[in-house]
Amino acid sequence: MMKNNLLLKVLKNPVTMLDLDIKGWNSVLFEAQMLKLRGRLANDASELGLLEKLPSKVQKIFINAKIEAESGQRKIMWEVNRIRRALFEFEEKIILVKGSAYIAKGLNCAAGRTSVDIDILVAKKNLDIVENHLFIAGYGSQTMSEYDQLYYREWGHELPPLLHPDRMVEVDVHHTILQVTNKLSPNIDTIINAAEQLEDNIYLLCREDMLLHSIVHQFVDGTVKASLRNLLEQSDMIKEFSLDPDFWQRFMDRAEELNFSRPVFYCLHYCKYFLNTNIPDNVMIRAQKSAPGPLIRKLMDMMIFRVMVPFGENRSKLSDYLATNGLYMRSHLLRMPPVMLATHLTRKLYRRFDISVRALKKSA
Amino acid sequence: MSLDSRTIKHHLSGQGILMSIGPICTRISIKFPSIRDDFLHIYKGYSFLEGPEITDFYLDVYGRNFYRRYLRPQVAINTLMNDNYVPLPVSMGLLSVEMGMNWQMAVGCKTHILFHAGVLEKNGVGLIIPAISGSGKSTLSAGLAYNGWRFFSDEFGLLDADSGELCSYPRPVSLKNESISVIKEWVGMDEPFSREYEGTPKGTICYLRPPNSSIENMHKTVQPRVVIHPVFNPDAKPDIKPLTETMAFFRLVRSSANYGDIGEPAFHALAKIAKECISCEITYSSLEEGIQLVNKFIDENLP
Repeated sequence: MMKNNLLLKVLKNPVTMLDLDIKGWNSVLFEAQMLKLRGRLANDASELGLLEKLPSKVQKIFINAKIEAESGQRKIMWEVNRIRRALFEFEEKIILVKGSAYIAKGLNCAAGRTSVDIDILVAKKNLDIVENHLFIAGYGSQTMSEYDQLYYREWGHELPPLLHPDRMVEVDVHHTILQVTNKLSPNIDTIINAAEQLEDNIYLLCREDMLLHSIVHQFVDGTVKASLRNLLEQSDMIKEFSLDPDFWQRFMDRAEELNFSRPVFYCLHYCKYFLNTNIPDNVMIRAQKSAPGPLIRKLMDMMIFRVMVPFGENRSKLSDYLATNGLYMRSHLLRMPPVMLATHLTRKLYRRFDISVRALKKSA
Repeated sequence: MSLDSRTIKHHLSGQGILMSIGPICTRISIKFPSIRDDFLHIYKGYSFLEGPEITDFYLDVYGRNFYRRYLRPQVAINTLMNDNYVPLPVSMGLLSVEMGMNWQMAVGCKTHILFHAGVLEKNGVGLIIPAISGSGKSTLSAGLAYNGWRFFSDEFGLLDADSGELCSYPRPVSLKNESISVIKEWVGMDEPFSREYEGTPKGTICYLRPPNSSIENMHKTVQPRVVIHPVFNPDAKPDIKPLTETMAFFRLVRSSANYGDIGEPAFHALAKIAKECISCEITYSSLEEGIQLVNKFIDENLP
């Protein structure tokens, strides 16, 4: 059913933009806005020389999206510059991950991408030093309760978000790529060791790890809802990296080494399904070995097909709701052991209750 | 092209109605009947379209769930643009609509250089009144609009970087506190005003529909010729302080919301305005005085 989605069609084959009528454009532009993909479409259109042939209103919307993406990327790279300045005395690796890394490396998937925050990865032993340097440079932690601070530091994979008041670009400092309580959480040292230098103390993950990180972020840790953009970035990376004939071998080996074969199966399976990404048969066969059993697989398919592009007419709200929440619960169950999850959620629930009681008392 | 009010209401309560203001086309849906009435009163005479039309922005005004829709109603908005607005009571619903549209312009509009400014036109002379909140910019703009000037905007001045012309975006004027009674007296009729919304974070707010001729001519652009920075001070003596080209430039940069996003084209466009327009700062203690100073500065300085 999702395969008929107009946005997917346009993303797979941008020339089909020329066939869209007003209704089609509205549906594509609306969904692209929800999924943060307008910049991507704009970029595709201008790269293929389609822009001038589109309706003038669409041209304006695409120019708007391009300016937005470009200025966003400028802000991100400026923030990277500021981080470098804040950490110029720090001699160990500062690894850019996610959006800022794609932009810094000039990957195809960065074209037209709107990024709003920066993620960096440092060794856990350096966390305090890095945080301190950033505080001295004027970054601040957003006010949060003691429990939140503790939760981030003990169980999380990042510090509470930092923000410089002059620029308001959120900086997330990670010490690993998955919640430490997640049973798939890898040995981060091997990932940090494999990182490659970009300039001075700024590093990027090696290509295999970069793709793996995007995959576990989407299929293990994140909310899958409306995450088509992540799948697209994986598909782009696959296209770009697999120009190197040794890539697949290295990538699949690395996935096994880090115990990420299951999420890699999901990525390849859904890239193929949604985006027709070209994946060699032998790779697909190898990935199938890590596929879940038929029941889980059916369930995942049912949920993912519904939430990847979570709009459209004639959709059942109930099944969309179940699918979204099913995947949300799944990501939480993966994130920590059940007892810990129960304690955590009870605390959060209590706090929510506490806040509303206080609000009631205040209004009374 | 104009739709009858029943059709408009029908779409507004359902899938949304297309409203075209200046260069921007927004699809709006409002789930609360009382807010729909307020909305349709203040936007009377605007251009509503049945479509299909390619849409820039989408604004949903709704209750989060059954409880917030019917039992203890609260207005939420969805702008599709990372907004994080606190829901408001239904009695202040029109504020939500206006805030949502303002947010969409402030965050989403990059095709035009955006000034936080009032913009008006008379005899082909484009006037920009940039200012921070509380300097009397809205009051002065409303005063001029009901004194022979064509109203472009009291909040978002739009400049087309390519043509160097100002585009009209005549949304209702948002008047606050003391200025409400001043402008009500100035306009001399109640019809174009909204209800007064009391107890908002900014005090009492009242909206004023621009004159019909301004709404009807919203697609006519104008060349900017004059920039006036107003300073309202009830205890001060009236004063006109001309600005140097350099100062005029930096003041414009400061008042533009998306100067940094647009980059070089914005730099050239603002430099052109600073060079070719006459610029000053006026200090005034009453609306009448403000308007006198505006006219005086223009009469004495415009070639």
